Amino acid sequence: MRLPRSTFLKIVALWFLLPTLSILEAPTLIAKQGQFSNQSVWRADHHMHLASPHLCGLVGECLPSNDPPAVFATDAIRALDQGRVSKGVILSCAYLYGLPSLHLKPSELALMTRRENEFTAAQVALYPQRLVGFLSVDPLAESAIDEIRHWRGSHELVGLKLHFTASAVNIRSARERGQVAKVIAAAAQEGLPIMIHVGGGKFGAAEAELFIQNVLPSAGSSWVQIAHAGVAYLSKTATTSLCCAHSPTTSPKTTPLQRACCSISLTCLLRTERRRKLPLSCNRCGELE
Amino acid sequence: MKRFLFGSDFNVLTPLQEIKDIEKFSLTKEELRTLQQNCAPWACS
Repeated sequence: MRLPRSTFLKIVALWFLLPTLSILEAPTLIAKQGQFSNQSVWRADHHMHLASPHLCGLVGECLPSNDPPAVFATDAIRALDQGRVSKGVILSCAYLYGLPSLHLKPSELALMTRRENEFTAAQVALYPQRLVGFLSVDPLAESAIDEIRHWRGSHELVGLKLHFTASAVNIRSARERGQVAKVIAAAAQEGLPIMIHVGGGKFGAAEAELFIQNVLPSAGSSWVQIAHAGVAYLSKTATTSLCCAHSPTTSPKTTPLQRACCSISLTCLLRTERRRKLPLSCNRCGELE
Repeated sequence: MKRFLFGSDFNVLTPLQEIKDIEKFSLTKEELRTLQQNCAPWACS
């Protein structure tokens, strides 16, 4: 989920468009909710969010069709069916409680983060054949590593989502890079794949390189998925550095980045590459098997 | 293309809206099929 306010008008417009799209979709194309569809074309949507009523009350950007506004698993299933997508990866929005603008105390942040992750897990559990979840934390919070370990063995939350922009991570700060690296290492120790929305303040090629060199190696052998292909809030230069700057000849196949994969959310990377005629693939990202 | 995963950022966009955006990029049929079939281990295994 993107940060509130900057996209508020767009979201409001989407709220009005969604019922129209539902009407236009042929009923025969819509799979029975909660079950796989033989007619599904897309195997999975790897970047979806739910949000509890409590979180929505604080940060907005939720579906007003729910009263109180929220985003539930049923909403995600309905959207998957409309797009003829078999499965969805639900990323907890608990990290939004770390927004500096909320001014939460560490104890409050820990409690609300736990509750939002519990909400996500409970919602995912309603559709075990269609949904899988990632927990999320503010990596700069004192409670981050405890929260990751709390979910050890969970069948619903099987990965970790981090959002550097929402968490106001300053990648130029060695101390904060170290904190984030510890959190990522803790997730890797639990065997969790990690999805990272990079960014936060000025984030250009130099910052991307700091991330690549100082933070990413802490993921070890865990998969790392870069949300929005690293583009959502970044300069094109940073994206190029993050995903495409290094060829296999200069980047040994054993590096964590070789096991990284890029989310195509918003497809900005494709757009950029087409315009610049760069290779379509990211040489520093690993291929899916 | 095997390095890319489809994601809509729902509820910012719906999967259907994101798919329609992707269709504007003039991917080849093979590229589109690859993207449709790509699935991370945590989602499909």
